[in-house]
Amino acid sequence: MSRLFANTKSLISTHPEHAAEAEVDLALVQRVQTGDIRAFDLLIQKYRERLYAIIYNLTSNREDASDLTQEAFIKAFRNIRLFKGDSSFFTWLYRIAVNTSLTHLKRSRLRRFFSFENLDEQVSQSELAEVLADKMQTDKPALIKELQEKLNEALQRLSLNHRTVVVLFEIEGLSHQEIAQVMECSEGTVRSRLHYAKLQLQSYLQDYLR
Amino acid sequence: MPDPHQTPRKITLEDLLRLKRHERPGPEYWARFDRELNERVWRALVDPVGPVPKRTSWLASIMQGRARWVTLGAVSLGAVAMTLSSYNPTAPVSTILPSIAGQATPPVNPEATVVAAVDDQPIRVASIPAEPKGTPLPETAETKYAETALDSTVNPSSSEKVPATVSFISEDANGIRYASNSLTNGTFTTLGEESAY
Repeated sequence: MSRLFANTKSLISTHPEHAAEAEVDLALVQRVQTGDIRAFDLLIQKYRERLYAIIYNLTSNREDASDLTQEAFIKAFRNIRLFKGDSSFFTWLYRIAVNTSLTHLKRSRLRRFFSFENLDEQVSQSELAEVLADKMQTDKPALIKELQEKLNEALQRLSLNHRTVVVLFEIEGLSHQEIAQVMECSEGTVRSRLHYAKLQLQSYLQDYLR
Repeated sequence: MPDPHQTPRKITLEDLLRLKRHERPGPEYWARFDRELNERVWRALVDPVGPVPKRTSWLASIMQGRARWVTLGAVSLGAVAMTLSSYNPTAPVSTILPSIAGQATPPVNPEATVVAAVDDQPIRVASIPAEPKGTPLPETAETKYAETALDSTVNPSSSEKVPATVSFISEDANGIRYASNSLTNGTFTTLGEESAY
């Protein structure tokens, strides 16, 4: 088994934090592969919130996000014996989550609706909220609610590939290289999609960017 | 305290998108999520391949639009061609009859293999052990289930398709036998009593 993962280090992320995580994940994956199912619980605990966030930001629907996150974990569990360590576990898991979401979005494009998560308290106390409320001359709670809707709408107006790149880069903080691994495309494609997506978002959200 | 004469900071797109990081469920949500996911993981352990889809996507696409008539026509022609090529007028007609006690069941060829399913349940390919002529089958839970399902008081509409957990095997015709997991009509004899179904 260890020989199987011998080259993993060279293939995983260049991001130092992620590289350290990948080492820990690999040990957990190997435990699951040898029959220690409890190790999979640790992987769930570690990644459930990040996976949920990706799927939620792709779908803008919290019920779908909940169901699809579970589905992604089940797919990962069923296929974990196929994980060979060619990439880090988290890019493999994110790829499953993104593909599960994209398949769902393609299937249900004619009957989609939004349901938003609550924004936590930090937002209303943030400097950004102060500045925006001052600029827009509205009270903060109304502004935050409106901004949340506009942001979600703007993301949903992007194509699936553009949305995925924005979510992974701007919201989840993945590097171009990691996104390229998740989306199975070149880094150049990631950069180009990101540039185009941001131009579109700037146009949709220009009222807030004055 | 912010300086009122200072120019307000310009809001960037990245600032706005960062707000999305704060849209997240509360801690109580994760307790439910863990419970549901745990159940699903254990179910995946019991059933590693998952449920078989009722209709595959290629079949679904075939069954839509004009292509279905072309496909159905081609399948029908193929079926007719296969029937004609294997037609043997001396072979007994394959009838779907329950193999039950008291009936003159012909001896079964142990080498014969069930190759076709008559209803919508696929039948696993399996060799069937030979039974001496007229040997009564033991009464089993399946037999009881079929009896209950076929009882006219339980199921007064005798034309209804009745599911049975036991497979009914036809006579051997040139090494081919047919199996069914449901009954529609005929007579069903068990332990000396006859009832219609």
